[in-house]
Amino acid sequence: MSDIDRLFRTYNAALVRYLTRRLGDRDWAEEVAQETFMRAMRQDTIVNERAWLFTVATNLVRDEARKDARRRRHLALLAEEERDSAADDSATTLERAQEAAFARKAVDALAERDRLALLMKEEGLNYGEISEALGIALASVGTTLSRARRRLVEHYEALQHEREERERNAAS
Amino acid sequence: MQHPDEGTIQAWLDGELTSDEMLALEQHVADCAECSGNVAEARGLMAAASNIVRSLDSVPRGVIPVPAQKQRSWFASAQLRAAAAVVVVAGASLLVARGMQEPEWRTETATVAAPEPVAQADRAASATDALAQSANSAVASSARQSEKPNPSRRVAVTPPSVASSGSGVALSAPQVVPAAPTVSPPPFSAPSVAQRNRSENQREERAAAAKTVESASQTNVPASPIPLPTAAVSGVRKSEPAKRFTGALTAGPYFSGPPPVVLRRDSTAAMIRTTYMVSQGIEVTLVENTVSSFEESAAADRAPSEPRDSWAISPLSGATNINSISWILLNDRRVTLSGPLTVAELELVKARLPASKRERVP
Repeated sequence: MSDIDRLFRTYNAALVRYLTRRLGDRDWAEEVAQETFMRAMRQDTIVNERAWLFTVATNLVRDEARKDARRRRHLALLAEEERDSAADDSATTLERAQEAAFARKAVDALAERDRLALLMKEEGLNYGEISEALGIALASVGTTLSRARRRLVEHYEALQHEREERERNAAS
Repeated sequence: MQHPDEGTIQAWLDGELTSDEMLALEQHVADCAECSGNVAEARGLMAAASNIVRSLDSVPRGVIPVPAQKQRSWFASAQLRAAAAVVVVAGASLLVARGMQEPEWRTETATVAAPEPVAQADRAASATDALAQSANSAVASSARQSEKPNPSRRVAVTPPSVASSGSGVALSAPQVVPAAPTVSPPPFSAPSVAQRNRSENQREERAAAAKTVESASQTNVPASPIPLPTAAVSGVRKSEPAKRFTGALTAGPYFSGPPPVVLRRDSTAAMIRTTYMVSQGIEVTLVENTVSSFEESAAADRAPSEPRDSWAISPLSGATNINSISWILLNDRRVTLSGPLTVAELELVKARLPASKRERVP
């Protein structure tokens, strides 16, 4: 198995999942992952493969987001898609769709560094890898994650409360 | 030990502390109610955050925004297509009935092919149905394929050859050859639930129509007394400017949309070019480099070459507003997709390409 094959088989799933969670678009995520592996092929040696891959992928996302503002509108459309699809679905799927929409909003409400640190941690990167990928001090990774988790949960719960308020108002 | 801050608690819960640090922290937390509460809260937040992040995994593909369909070509309307088909069928029937009394045929089609001989008069009914279906593409394509400034100008063509059989009159008619052996791609609609339902219905209609047209255009279909009208397309397109796509592409899930129809493919030593039809009069071009991007860059460094986007220019001369997107396959081959679409629309077309054109090549 070639090096690139090994890299791909080892890290592609996690990288695509990380990028999908970051971008909200699987096609876009696969494209960025593909470009990341292409760049890996051009490297003679990579010391910390996982950190390197996530760093490059993160930088690619940043570069693309700066270049194409239209891609940022996918959030609103995702919410719209979820509402449209939820209208025809069963209650369980509707609930799941709403959770996904709230999760999207809550994650996107985080600061970029907090969001990326959290998503990388969810993919199993350790503090050293997160520190290297984001260019932050090792000692600050724990604080960053703590803040990210707290704000994520708070924002998510706020969205749920808003929905419950709307439903109560609609019922009364 | 001092009360641990939230970063230290987080590092402990994430397993990032050394064994000595962990031991010290555990001992402190066991004896400190305040820190014990903080640790419990942090654990709850970790679990909740993980659940929220996992909710992100159920996302659709292709959520890039697409413009709403602003206007549709007159021939895209199902009702008008049907009306046009009726007109063509009526006209063809009339001509058949008048037969030898009509020395000259008049048709609104500017480009015609040579008539083909027919054999069996008793297949007129089935041929008429197929005629109606093919007339859709014929009517649509004749308007844009005309080489004359006024496409509605009538053209006299060679009188048909007439043969008689025992049961009826076998007659040939001017033919117009369709550009592709399938029906044209469906009209595009904006991505809403109602419009997705319509597109589903249209896909079913297309499938039914495709079967009819395909069966009619195949050589093993029994010959009919009224040959199917087909549209000749060679060389005509180049005199027309590229049409600017103004409609929305078919709604999601975009990755499961029908593949674009391949119109033509040619290749050189360095690249393969495939032209797809994504809608009436809308073509996109996919150029695949057969050399790796390393070799491509090396060649560019050694000697100046024509601009990379030269192949991205539409074959329709004078075309404007041509955009292109480019990506690299895992085998390090660059692929460029270009056409009179926005970048977002090109991305959606890309999603409909075969997997080998847009993803890794094993």
